[in-house]
Amino acid sequence: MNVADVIRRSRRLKLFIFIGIPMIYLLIFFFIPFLIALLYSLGMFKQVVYQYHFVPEPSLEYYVGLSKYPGIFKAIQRSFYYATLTTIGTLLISYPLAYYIGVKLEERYRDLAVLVVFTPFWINFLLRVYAMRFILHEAGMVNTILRLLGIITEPIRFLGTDVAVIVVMIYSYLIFMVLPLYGVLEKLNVELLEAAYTLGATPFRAFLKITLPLSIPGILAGSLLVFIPAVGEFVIPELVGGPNTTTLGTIIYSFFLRVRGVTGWGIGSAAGLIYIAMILVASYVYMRFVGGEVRLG
Amino acid sequence: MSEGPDERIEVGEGRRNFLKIAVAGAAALAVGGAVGYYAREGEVTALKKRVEELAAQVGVEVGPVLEENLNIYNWTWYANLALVEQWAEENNIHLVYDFFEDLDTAISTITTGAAQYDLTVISDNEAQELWEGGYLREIDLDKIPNFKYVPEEFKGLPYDPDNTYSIIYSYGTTGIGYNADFVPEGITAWADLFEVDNPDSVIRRHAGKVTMMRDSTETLAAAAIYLGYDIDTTNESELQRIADLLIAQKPYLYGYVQTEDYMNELPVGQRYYISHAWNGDIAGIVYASDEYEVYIETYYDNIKYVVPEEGAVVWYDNFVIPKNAQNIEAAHAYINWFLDPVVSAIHTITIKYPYPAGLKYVPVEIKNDPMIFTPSELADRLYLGRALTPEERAIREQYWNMVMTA
Repeated sequence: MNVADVIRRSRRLKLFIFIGIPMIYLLIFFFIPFLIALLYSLGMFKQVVYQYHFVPEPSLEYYVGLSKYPGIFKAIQRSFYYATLTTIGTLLISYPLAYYIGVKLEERYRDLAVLVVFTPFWINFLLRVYAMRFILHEAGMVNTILRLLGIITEPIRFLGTDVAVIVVMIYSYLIFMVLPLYGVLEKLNVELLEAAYTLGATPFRAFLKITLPLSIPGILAGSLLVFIPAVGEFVIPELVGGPNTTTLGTIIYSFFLRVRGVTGWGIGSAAGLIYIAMILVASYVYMRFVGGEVRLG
Repeated sequence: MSEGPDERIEVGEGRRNFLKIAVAGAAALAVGGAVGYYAREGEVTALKKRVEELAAQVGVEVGPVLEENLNIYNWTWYANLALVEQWAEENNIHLVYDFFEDLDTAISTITTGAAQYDLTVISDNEAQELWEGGYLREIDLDKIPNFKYVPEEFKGLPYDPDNTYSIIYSYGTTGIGYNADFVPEGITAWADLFEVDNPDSVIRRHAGKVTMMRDSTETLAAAAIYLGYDIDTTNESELQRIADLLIAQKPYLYGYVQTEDYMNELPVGQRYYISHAWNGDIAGIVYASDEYEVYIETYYDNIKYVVPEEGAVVWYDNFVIPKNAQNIEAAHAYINWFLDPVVSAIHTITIKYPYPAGLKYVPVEIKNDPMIFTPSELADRLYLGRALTPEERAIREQYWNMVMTA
């Protein structure tokens, strides 16, 4: 056995370890379940859970059933509405924050500042959402402060409204926007800005021509990280929302958990696949629109 | 970059600050957690002692020593946990007691085999659905001698005539709970909550202060009873009328809420004070209650529960043993222990849900409270749900979602 052979073999081994194992993981935990969901949605399974009867006759019955489902379009519309507002909200809050931490703040304080932003996210997601329920409650912190300040006399109702859902979603997804933006802005070459000022650019113009374009990959990554899970969100509307905040996620959940059986899993899978398709289209359009020539794979 | 006076500080400083803060944060959390834990521990010991004293008065039998694990899966707020822990300790059982807050989650946990439980509590027609789906084991009544203490009317209920797979755990009705301080005129019927066209009806006079359950089965059933339909109707024109009724009611509601929400809110009455509710939850408010403590005195006499004139849903919760249970002996031992009249009575006194086997030892205040033990003269206006097929549930769920997204 010569040296070249060993290298070749070890290269293959390396490829297997670094590409093969994650791929096998994805195959088992993502692609195969995805395929199963596809088969369910096409009515090609006749029994759920333990016994499978494969029927090789795809039908669109469940998709048709779903399209006739009352409220489905409203729920989809609402899911996108929440996700869009959440993305815009997190971006508006995160950009100045990431900019001041990553560009303006002295370097030695940056870790500390990021840590401060990060700390609330050490706490479990569900606990944070429950905490927000107490904060937004009619007898909660927000209402109490407003009342003590004499701004209101009657408590404002937040729970069960769109406002509560969006506020909590922005809070929950904030970190996914801050970190990619910070990552990009921290690497921003400040000399470029100094050069712009030297050449007579106003700070606003320098921002528009230099900082903003250079931070687009961060905006893009952050927006996708926030938008995609936000469309499928059902825990937050369920916990702080009410009957008027039913989203696509809530409906998918109700098919799998309430309707159950082959019908429930079939329509639920159809709804899930439609959700994935819509996300793909929306992400593609978004990347073309915002990203321009930036390519993600 | 800035040329501040601290420029000489080495690069590593930031990292060290990070570490210092992280350590301080972790320490603070640890201390806080420990203090909370010991405070709770002391409280629990005191409560355990009181339950032990009560148990000693009537003499709890200690069963054979079982060196096993036992995983129980039950609703929150549904057993005296101090007593359960004591039983596990005496019988040398390593007990894992998990909670669920809605039936859908529980069913999916069992049907997908996501977790192995040896014993769980599931209501009537859902238990039947699970049994027919092959998710449950038969229960061996020979191993449960205390089954004899279960009153006859709770044996062989319609969904399981021979107690093949289920044994009664508790039962109750779904009616209306309200805070009489805000509703002095009282509530007697579903009409009070559904007559939205009548400006003098309860719902109109208390607009925005009423809640329905966030549970399609219960809320569709309430509307069906008011309209005089079968509670499990799958007739589309009837469901359409039910949906129309609920949609008309919706603007006058505070919302659709869950147990923990109305249990906290009814005594306060700030957000709302009339709720579509389970009897035992309301009893749990009226009587001072705790999952560890034994109380008999009432706390909130102003909270009332009513089984509406038109009728109400009655439900039975049952012990069932999932198919993938590991410690079937221990599960049977637990059921047998629970059906001991004294044990059942202590659970009733604690939780304020009726555990039928314990009727004999329950103090008279609780025994005669119609809110806890549903009076038998109500029987002809109580409706028990039947097991639905997934197709039937899909139809009903459609109309529920129509209401939710309206």
